[in-house]
Amino acid sequence: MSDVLDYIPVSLSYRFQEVQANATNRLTLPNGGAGFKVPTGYAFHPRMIHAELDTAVTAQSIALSVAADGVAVSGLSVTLNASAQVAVSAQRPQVVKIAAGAVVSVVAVAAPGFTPTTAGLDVVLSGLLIPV
Amino acid sequence: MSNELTFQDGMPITLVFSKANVEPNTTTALTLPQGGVGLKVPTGYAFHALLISGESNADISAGTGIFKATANTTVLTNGPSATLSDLVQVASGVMRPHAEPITAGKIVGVSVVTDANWSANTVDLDAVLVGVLLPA
Repeated sequence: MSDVLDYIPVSLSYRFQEVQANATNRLTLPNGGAGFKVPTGYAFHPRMIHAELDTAVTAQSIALSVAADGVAVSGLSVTLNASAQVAVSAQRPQVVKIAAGAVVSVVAVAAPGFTPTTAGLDVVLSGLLIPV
Repeated sequence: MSNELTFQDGMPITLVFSKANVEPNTTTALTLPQGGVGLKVPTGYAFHALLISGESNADISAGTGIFKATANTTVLTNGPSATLSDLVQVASGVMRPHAEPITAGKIVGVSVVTDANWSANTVDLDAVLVGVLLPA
């Protein structure tokens, strides 16, 4: 497949309900899937992450990061807190590459004492598949 | 934050929205899968809505429902639109870039505008909005 296109833009929607404090919450695709598996011959380059809580934060904060096989990767992240119910961040390609075979997802690390634990999260993650 | 997303023709973004039980003669905002309102345009960029696709899980027996892109819930005048009606359960529409860019800080969403004859009050609606982020 790597000969088909120079790059393939990909946008993914993730969600999570009832964020737990002092925990790493792994978001899912809308119907519960773990994420997007990077195809052979490509690497996934995260470009933009957008996060939104359906309820304002009343204590502490929650940090959202791109993950490979459930483990956060450095680089692209956003933090939601009492003054930021929506946040967006972007980065250039080639900064972070998630290798073929890995499952791309989003994890949310809520600080101890984070509230409300009834909050729902929506995340849009966009990136590029670039041949390796 | 600026220019991180720049490449050949902008950074394409695809957004998925849904809503159930839309009333007639209303403008109703669809939501992201967990209920969020939409995408906040990052600083330094504008969002150009290019394509919208709307779908109902059952036939619209009377009236029309028009899917439109929104900025802070205000329907774009020159954005793409897609109209569902009797026997048209899926529709799409396109628009050129730069027709009506949504500026940084605003929330990109989708609304459906129903007329007074809309009789599909119990259907489930899905919409896909495709656009590009271009440096402002």
